Amino acid sequence: MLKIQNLTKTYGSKVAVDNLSLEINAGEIYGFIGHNGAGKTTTIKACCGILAFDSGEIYIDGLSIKENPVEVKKRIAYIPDNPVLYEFMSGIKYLNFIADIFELPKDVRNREIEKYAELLELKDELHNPISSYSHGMKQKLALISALIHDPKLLFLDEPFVGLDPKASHLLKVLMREKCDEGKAIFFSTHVLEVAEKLCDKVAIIKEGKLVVAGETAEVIGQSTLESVFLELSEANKE
Amino acid sequence: MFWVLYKSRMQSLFTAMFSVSRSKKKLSPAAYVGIAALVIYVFGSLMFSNIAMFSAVGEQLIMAGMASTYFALIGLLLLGLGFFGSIFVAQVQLFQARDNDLLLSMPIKPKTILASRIAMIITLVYIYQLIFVVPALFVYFKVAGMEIVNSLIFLILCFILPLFTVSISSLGGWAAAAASARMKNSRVISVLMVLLFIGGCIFISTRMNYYMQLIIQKGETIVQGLKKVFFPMYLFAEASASGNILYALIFIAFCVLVFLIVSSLIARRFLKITTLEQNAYKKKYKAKEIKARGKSSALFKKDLDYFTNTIGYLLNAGLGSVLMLLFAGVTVFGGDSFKNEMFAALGDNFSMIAAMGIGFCAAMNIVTAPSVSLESKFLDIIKSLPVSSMDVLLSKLKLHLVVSQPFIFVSALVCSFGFKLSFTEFLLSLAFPAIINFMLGISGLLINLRFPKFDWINETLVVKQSLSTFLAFFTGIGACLLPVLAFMLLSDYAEANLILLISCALYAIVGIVLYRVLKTWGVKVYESY
Repeated sequence: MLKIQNLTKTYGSKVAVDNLSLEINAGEIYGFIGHNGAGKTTTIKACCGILAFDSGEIYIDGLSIKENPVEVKKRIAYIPDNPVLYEFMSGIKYLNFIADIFELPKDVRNREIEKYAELLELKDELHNPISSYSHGMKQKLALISALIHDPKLLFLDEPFVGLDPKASHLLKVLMREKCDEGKAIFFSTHVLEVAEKLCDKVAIIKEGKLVVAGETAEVIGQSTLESVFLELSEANKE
Repeated sequence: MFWVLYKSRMQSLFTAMFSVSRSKKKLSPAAYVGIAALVIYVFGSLMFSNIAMFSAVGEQLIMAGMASTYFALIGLLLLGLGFFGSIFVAQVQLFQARDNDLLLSMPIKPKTILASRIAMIITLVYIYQLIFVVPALFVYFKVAGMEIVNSLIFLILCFILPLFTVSISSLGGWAAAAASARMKNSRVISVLMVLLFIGGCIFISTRMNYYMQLIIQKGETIVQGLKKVFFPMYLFAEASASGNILYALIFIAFCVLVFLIVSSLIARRFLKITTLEQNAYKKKYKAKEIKARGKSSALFKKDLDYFTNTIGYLLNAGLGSVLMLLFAGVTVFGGDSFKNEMFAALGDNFSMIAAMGIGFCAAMNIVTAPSVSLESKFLDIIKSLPVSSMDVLLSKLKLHLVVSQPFIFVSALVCSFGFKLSFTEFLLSLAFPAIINFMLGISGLLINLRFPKFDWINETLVVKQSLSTFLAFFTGIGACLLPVLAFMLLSDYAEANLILLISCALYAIVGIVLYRVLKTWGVKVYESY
């Protein structure tokens, strides 16, 4: 589903992502873990075609993000860590805009918006301007906009930040459901307990380099993800 | 602490005006020199034009012994322009500042925060005032000689006047902020107010000669009227004209008192004001059928909604459309003497006058020049969507054309009645502004791609005071001036209509070339952000 090959991205003299390679298959929830500034967001943005990268290649569903960006983007959805939405729109206008871009038929968009808005308890706020929304509500709206067009691959950058406990639980359920349908999810998080329970595979990145990647159970062994992460952070310091 | 906050406010203002790239590169020394040269050029040009304006009225008033009338007019001008120049700044900086939560959570007294913001607004008013005070004094010296005491008093009173100006603009900004939090159509009201003000300025400027004559004839009456209606301004005028220190002191006391009262009123309610929920107005839900659109249509609708919902963008980037309608109206209702005054260098070549008039107004529409900068906050959304970069850029060009072209058509039609143009002349007066508007739409995009501003916190600053809008505006004016210059040089050899036709052809070619540059270089630059 997603194949990252030797991805490198630099900002001036700083190497944000250094020769990163990993693969995600359909049906997998893949956790991407790292300290602040490790390169998680840069990697995710490169995969979504938001950032150009210096070298390497990214394939989504067999298509290169460099050569077929529009085709690739039809298959994915991206939720940033801090969704900056079009605040001059109402929630429903924003969802309708996204639906237009993804060319969803009217009946499909009506059905999907209704379904997810009910599920995430945002239905009564959809007619209000996004500028009046709290952070959590904006996060929910971003989530709905990502789900309505049924993407094959979801990129979520710290998706649990700002969500209330009920919405967090719902998101985990939805993520599992989507992957059981054959989709894939690539998400970054600092909440290691969630990653440990939810993810089929994890990758830990430090200072732009992939430190470890694989099945969650294999990576953590008898320990916890938190211990493994802290150990690896300390080891590389030495 | 006050100076730290004040300095950071002034720095953010400077950065908002002159910072260029997303990579947060520092400006080079050469860039600073360039900016300084630009500022000096702009200020110098404005001051020279004000000297001409003040001389026309001031010389006669001062020589007729009506210096108080002269200073009364200057004072009213400073007050009026200072008020309108600072009311929206006051609304945003005092009552809707986005760093309120951060600063209020720190060990800083709320009144220090407020004081630093008011100081910034006063500094801005001083900068605006400079453009008028220096020419006013220059004209006074030229006519009345070096009256040191009077001039010193005038300068001191000009230094104090912003205390009063900012006090009333703060109250106005407070009202505007409260209205926007509570009212459904507060935006519409603000737009109407600004349009009324601009309309008023334009109306006055079209009858400037008449009003100047009236002022000279009724100078004493004006001052006596001011004494009854607005006594402090009478004191300002008399103190500056006669060097009356008592009057000056009373005026200073009045301004300081008003300032202290308003500041303490705002300071007492500062916390309540800053925590007032903005956009508290909630829409009543009305079920409507969802409209499905194509991709291009959806992108255009998004850009159009953003444009119409952002007052600063709407008024500053789309003003040309209103102006060209006013221009066209004046050709029908303005009378022959006005028509003869307009574009005197172009004689009775009315097709050229119509084309240039509408063209200049269309050049004031700088919709594309800040559009990429304004999109920067939403780049992550738009770049993650399955739309091509060219589609995104074309949508902004479409907005520019939709905001301008219908008005160009109507204005050309009205001008053709006003000037009694033939069909060919009507076509020329339509084609020239239409083509130049298209060309400037693309050039505005290219300029913004080259000089984007990503670190902005206020849309109005991006639209009004960024490098790309400045360059786009002057590119437009320059493009309109070239055919006028060509006509002035070649009028013995070629008819105005021929020059207009050649200009249309040349600008059409330039427009096509620029479009290709947009498709290649423009897209590449956009994708690199």
